[in-house]
Amino acid sequence: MLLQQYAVQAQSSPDPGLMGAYAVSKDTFDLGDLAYKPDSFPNKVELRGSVHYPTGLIGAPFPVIVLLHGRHSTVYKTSAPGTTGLSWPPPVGYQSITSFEGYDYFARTMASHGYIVISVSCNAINAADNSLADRGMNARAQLMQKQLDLWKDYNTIGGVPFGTKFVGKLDMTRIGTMGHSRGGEGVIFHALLNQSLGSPYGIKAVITLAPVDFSRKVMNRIPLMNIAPYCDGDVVGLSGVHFYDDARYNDSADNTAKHSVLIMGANHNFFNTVWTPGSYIAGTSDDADGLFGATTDPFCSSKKTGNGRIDTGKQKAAFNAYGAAFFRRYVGGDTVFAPILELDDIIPPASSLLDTTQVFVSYHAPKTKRKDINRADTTANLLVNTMGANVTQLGLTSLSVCGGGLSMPLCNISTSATKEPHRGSTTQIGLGQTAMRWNDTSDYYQNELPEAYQNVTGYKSLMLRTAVNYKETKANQHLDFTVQLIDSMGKMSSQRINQYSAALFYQRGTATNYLPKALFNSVKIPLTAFKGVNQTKLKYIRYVFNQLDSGSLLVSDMSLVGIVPNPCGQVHAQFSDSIGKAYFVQFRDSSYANLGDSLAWQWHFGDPASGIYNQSDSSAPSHVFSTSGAFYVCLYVSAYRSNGLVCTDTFCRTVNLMPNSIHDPSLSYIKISPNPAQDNLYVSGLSSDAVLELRNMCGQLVLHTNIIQSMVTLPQSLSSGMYFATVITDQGSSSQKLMLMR
Amino acid sequence: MGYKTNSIIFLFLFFSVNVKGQALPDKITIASVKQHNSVMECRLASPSPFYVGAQVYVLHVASQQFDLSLQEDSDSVHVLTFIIPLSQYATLPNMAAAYLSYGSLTEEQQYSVDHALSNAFLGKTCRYLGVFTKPTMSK
Repeated sequence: MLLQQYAVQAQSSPDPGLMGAYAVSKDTFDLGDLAYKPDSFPNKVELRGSVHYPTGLIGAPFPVIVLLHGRHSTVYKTSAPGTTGLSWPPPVGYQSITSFEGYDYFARTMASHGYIVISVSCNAINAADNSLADRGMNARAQLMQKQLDLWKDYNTIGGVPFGTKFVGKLDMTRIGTMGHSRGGEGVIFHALLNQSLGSPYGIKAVITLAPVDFSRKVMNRIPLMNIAPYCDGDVVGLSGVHFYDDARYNDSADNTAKHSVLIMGANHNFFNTVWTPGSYIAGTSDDADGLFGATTDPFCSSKKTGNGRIDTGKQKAAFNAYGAAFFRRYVGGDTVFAPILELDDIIPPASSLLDTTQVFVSYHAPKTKRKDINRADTTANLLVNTMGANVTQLGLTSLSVCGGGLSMPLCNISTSATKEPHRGSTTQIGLGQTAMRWNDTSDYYQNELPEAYQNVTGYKSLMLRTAVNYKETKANQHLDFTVQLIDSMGKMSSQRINQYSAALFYQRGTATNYLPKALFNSVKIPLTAFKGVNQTKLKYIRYVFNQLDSGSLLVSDMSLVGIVPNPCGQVHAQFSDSIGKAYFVQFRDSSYANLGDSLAWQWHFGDPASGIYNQSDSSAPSHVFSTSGAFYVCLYVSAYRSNGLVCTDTFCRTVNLMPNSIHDPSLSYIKISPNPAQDNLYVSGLSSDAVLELRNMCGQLVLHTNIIQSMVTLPQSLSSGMYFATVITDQGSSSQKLMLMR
Repeated sequence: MGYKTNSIIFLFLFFSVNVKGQALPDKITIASVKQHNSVMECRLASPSPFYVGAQVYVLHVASQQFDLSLQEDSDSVHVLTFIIPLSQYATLPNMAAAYLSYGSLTEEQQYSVDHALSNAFLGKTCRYLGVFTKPTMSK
């Protein structure tokens, strides 16, 4: 790995992983192995867990952290602990495996800083979830919510077994959740469930720790941190990166940060002491050695000479430090930890026991603290960046956009998806990324800044995410390049990537089909480092590949971050769509800008098979897609201001077209009733403004009206008969047949 | 739609011994294929345990995949029971090659499955089970 002298030394961030001032107490609670029946699960489940809290509970109310373990054996034989099982409840002669106690080390740390930490047992769901299409994720969400209901009672009226001990001690408006493995997707489901119920509990932050992501749910409007262990031998595809990638631009109203932490040498199980050999009596294993072999892989095999694995102590210390930093920042409001999470302080906290080559943090700043230069995720971005200005290059042997899934080509780094965790497939979106390859030190890639955005003095830093394309790079060759800022007078200033991050390391490991992995990490360069260039008139940001004769890398998410100057006021791109028959989709712009601005639109429908019709500059274009499937549709809005500035914004999202269907399944929770209808329609499941359209069986629009308080009064002019009713929201549309009987 | 597991989960137990990792057992056989209520159940048996972890077990028969399963036991026999809807079962060819995987297939494993290679390198997370013989329907 790179060992280098960074231009930015560690700031004086406090160490989030050290124990705090409070003494800590622990209680367990067990209301029964079959105490609760989730609606979405065939069996009853346990209400059991542990709670760590500041001894004496002085200083309450305390913010709350809830932990959810992953899928693991549920019982072991008391007389022969080597015999484990997957059943619930535990049969006679067997005891439950207390996976929920595997994060006690983290719970102690958080409780010592004034948090109440509840860890939830989830064995009953683990015992049967593979028989369910959702893998028990809805049940996990319901279990989490039930536990919060339980603790709400403990906090208000008390109850068995705690009596009134916790009355008034929990702050249920400040809650963080963490889920490990299947629990990781579980806490995403839970956050969405809580949102759908009107957010009765204040979920302020969510950590997904080595999670699965079977369903590709996207959580927005809550700060997120995904933790990816490079040597994960169970969730080997590191699918949790999608929680970060998918959420970045998915919700135009989302103004929360996303973080990702890559821990080199960590495996799946060692975050949980109950799953770790030597720390528990039954059912433990080293998953990395199980998959890669104990002596086979040069990086991820624990007994291979010179391997890169970190021991169990380091692995727990790493989660302890970064998990605490995240929760203390977003649940506790301790902004002193922001530099660790936002890459202003890249030296790992001492308590993490890691160095800068073992942990990499990615940061997607909130929308109001970020100005996208070039998201670099669509083919359009090869020529025109997200600011609406030109993209040019000199000498590159290859420049393309790939990996975004659906109709976008693969990056051809590997034939194995597990070696490219970010990439999409023909049916799923992935991280669209710009691939660039050079073979001369004069080659460059350049983004122009339009006049409206050339004054960058209000921003703090320049950011991008990047990864080495190891297939097209000499083995074990770490990469580097120069970032050059050029002002309108042609003055320039340069900084090298490797002065700020080791993110361009050549990825480690050789295990067939699994390693190495192309993983994106953020690089952040403070603008103050660029001396001698006029930052009120910055014309170009150029990547000059002058550090190595050749190389190949991947880039995404180029942005300016910090306190955003706002010469553009409000320019906000968004759209709705209405899906009709035969893959016909009517799009409607719902963007807004400042009073007096004139708007121009550019649509890309993500349907290259439609040729010249793949684009439109109408405000309300329709498009007939070439086939069924998922299409990544982007709207680029330019606002022409009266002061001469041209300001831009971009909004993209996936539109799903089902074969022979007019229904967007992602909005299946929207229901129209009654059916048949007479005078009024009621629409349930709406979370924002929406429009109802009725079309007759000939496809003619006969009604277009806003839905007021979930209700629409049907005009008497509509006659009895069958109609297509479409509810249009800013998330998409949902249609169904409706019988009208007057 | 979830499979109704109430009775099965509480009647059967799955006990394993000395689980070392997520590698599949070396010897797995198709023990039975029987109709149970409105589905077909394909039971896979092994003398050694199946790993319990984050991933899903997938039964591959011809070009079809089945990923709803239950883990059960009867003493020392370790069993994975896959649930196959009758409508899909009806379309399965008889005597097709069958595989079991823990998690998604890698490209190399997918190639072996697609080409019904029984002796291919399948790694630690995929096993060739033999041919899937469709029995006469019986309840």
